[in-house]
Amino acid sequence: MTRLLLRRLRDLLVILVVVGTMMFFVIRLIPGDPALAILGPTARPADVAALRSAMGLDGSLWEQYLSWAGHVLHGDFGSSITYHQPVLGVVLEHIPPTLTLAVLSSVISFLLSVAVTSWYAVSPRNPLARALDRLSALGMAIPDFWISLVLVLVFSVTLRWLPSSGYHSLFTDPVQALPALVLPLVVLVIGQTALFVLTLRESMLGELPLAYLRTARAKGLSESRVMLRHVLPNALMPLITQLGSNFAMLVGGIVIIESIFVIPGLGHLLMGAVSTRDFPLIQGVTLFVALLFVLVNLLVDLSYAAIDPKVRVS
Amino acid sequence: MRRLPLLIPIALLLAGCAGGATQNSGTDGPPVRGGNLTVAVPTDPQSLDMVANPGQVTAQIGNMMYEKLFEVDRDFTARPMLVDNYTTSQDRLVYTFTLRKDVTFQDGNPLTAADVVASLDRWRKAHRTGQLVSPDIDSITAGDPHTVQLRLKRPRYPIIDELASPGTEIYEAKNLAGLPATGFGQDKAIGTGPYKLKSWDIGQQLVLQRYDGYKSRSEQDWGGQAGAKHAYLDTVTYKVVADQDALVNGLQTGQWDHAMPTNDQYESLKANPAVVVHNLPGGNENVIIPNFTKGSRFADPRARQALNLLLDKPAINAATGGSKDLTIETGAFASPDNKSFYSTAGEDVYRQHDPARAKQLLAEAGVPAGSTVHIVTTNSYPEFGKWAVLLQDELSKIGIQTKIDTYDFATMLGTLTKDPAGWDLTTLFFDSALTSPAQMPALTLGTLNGSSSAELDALLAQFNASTNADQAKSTVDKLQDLTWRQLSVITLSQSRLYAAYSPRLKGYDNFYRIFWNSWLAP
Amino acid sequence: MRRNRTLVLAAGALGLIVLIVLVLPVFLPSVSATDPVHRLLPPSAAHLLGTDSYGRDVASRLVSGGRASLGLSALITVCAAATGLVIGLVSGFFRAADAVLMRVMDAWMSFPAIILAMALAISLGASLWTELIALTVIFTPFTARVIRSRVLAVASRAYIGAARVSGMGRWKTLLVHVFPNVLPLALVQVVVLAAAAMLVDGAMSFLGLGIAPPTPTWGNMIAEGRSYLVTAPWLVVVPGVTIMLCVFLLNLVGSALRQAVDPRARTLHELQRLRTRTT
Repeated sequence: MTRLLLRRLRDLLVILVVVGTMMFFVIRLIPGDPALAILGPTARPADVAALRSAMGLDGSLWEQYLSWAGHVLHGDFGSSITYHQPVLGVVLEHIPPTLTLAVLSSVISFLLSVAVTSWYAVSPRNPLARALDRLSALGMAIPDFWISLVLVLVFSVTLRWLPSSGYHSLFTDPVQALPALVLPLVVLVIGQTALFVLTLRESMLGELPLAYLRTARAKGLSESRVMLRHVLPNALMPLITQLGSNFAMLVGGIVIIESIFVIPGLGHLLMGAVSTRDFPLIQGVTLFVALLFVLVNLLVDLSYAAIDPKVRVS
Repeated sequence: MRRLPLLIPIALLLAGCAGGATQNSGTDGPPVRGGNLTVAVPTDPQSLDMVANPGQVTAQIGNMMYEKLFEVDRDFTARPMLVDNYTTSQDRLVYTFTLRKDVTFQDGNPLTAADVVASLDRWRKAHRTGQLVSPDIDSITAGDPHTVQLRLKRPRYPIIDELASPGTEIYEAKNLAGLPATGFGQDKAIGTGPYKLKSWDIGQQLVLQRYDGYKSRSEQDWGGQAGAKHAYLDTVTYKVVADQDALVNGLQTGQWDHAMPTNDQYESLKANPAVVVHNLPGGNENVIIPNFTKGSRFADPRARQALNLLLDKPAINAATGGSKDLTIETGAFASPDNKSFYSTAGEDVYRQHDPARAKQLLAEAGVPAGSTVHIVTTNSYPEFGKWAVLLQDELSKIGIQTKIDTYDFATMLGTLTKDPAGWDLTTLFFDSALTSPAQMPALTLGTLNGSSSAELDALLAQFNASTNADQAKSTVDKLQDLTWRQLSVITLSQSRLYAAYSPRLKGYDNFYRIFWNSWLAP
Repeated sequence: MRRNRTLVLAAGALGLIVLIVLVLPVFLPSVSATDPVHRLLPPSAAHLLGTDSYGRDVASRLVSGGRASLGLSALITVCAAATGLVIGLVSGFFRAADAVLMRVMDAWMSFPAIILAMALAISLGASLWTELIALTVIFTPFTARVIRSRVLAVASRAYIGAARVSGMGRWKTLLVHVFPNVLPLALVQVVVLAAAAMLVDGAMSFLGLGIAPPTPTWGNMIAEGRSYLVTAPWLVVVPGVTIMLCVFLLNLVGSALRQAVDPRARTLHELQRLRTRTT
């Protein structure tokens, strides 16, 4: 276990170095820089150069890279060009909205998918249960940006039931926060639940032919008891893996939904940073997202290994 | 779930049918003090330093916080603001400004001549307009604490207008010492205006609050940015809403009280009785910019003439203007509201339309049918993409192919300047309410498309040497005429802008994002 | 049996869509002809699906946009499946390469997809090629992982060991024994990839990172139609429903095929997860 952990930590460092370096050069290949973005089309080249230098963007690419990497090693991610604040602080400020969406949508989707699947497993003849189960295939096919537009139109603009956008902290202002969260959560939950239902169903189907079920049935347990007591718990493992890696991806950027619903999360931050060419901020967010992604995946793997020692963690 | 696809079109139709004509609710009643106004802005201001950051949102928030020696009224005429009165020497070379004596900065310090000198010196050095004016300025000096003397090297007719232009805000001298090119941070965002910075959640919202020590001027009827300013609202909250649809939806559902949406949204907002829609003075000059640089397909004047002949401007305007109310079919670089700069000279060239002749001229200029024209545009402003689409259609009708490269705004600028001969056409719009040639991109575009000329420079000098409004206007006519002869830009139209706001917003002068003298009806 | 019927029906419907997209443009009005007088017309006999804000025929654009959207999905699928297959095969079969390749794949996957797509679209201009590169890069590690796990399973089987003992070269073993066993899974993978690619392509176009207007794609049609959601809902509803239908059919075909090829290949869902990367 310790060796595994050490090896994964080493990998993590390698990944961060690779991602950080790639990002640094990728964004600098883009023509147009923050100075030009601010000064506009009629600016004199000399003024653009002066501003660029004041932003710390002069010197060769290589020099800039070394200086940046050196600072990062000392825990200094630099200052955002547009926010005039340390990158780390800006990133930390934008985490709560994304995390709120990711956690809530994951939990809701998990519960929903377990409920739908077990209902269907227990009463496969119930038409509603069957319909819900079948709908998951459709849920997978709905483009989320499209359903976002449609939901806003129906529930905000036409019916006026819910705000069309906005974000408030769930902890400091729950009364305003909840209604604003409903639509973005619904959009995220539709896609995720569909995926989870499919995963769970498939994993349950995989359990069915196994021997222990025959024993259980032979003991005289009813079919629904077999399903709920034996099949479901055993089939949950793949779903938990799915949940974990899904979560890691959500944290990595809910770009479109944050932009449609004006939620100041990491995806929103990243889009803004790219359009203003805020290089230090883009680098900071990328590194952070990569770190989060790797850590969450590691946690999933470790918990997987802890629950079931037979699993080889690769 | 299953029924959803059926439900949508019905809901849409309902939304589409609702509404009637919008009426401004007559008298606004007596002002009410207090409350918060929420205003949606398309981007974060990024900086509150109007010299370091010439962006529109910065300017519109800055106008609530800072003041200049002069400010424009609702007709874009410069009126004294921090200046109490001023004298001009006989030879028009020396201006002596006497400052108002009771003015204090939002940190309590009194306004002095030294602050004015420091602010204007920085403007000359670091702001684009200041740099263009600077060669004519000999010195700006403080006489006594309330007197500033401006000495010119040669008479400059628009100098007062230029002292009312963005970038000339007066900051405290102590806050300007040793500033980098990136400007000052929010701790130094201190002016003499009726509202001061309360908080700023970068990327999310910015809140201004009343400055209680503000001493107002007394002129009630100037409007715009000039005259008396009464801070009725306790606070004004600017919310950053980048997404256009979120902006409009939030306005309709009461999440904010004021927004300036794109022209696309005009008709549907106007049909909504819960929203007041009103035109703003001034507007945008919509332009197609041909590249004069050698190597471009439009380096030859005949090619530019051909392009002008080809463009069916009324059709383009109809397809992209959003509404007839918002489109003024004119080739002028200034808005008709901007009376001293609006000129109809060259209007006949603007109205020319002859695709057959265009084809012939293009061929003469070395751009035969089958050639490809490279258009560089941006998706940051939806209009630009639309013009590019229509341009492509019209060019294809005379056998010219197009390659459209769509970048985001910063990349577009980068691409245009990095490879000066690598593009043929681009699209932009300019503020058409500016009040001196030095501020006008249409006349100072040489750095971008190589359109500067001796004739243009001579006319600009002639304008600056004017001694009265009639002389100035006749030079404006010549400048406008030259623009249409050289085709440094091909103006498609003037777009009027509009504001859409809650009927509760009263006392608003329909002047951009100026909210002093405004209040919220209970 | 039921699986097969679903497969036939779904595949048939998809084939029909492809046929329409390929043949119909000949009979429809031009895609790029603008007509400012007849803008935002609701569906009628002259314009089956109405007109857009430039007065262009929506039906023509939908069909022509289908060429771009379906074509691009197909291209991405082929490219990502091919690169993923090669990386997966090599990494699953050669232990030495595995450690390195899988770390690279991990780094690759943790790189925010959207940044990469933006960087490409912004620096090279939004076009078919930048989107193709971006999406191929995004999809490859997922395919590689799925193929790799299958290769690992196949390689542990007895006959592979036997082939090795009988003196067969490693590369030859890989090609002769492992590859044919992995191929069916790769084919299923292709279908699932195509569905995912279509959704992600829609999202990219929506963000302005895909094929740029005026070339129509289903995604950029939705993006362009957004401003008229209230006044001209068909501009958004029509392409949205079309994307949904295609992805739905592709998923049906994919899951039916999978049942046929390998009932226990649950790793396939790795790919479908991709949609959350771009939400």
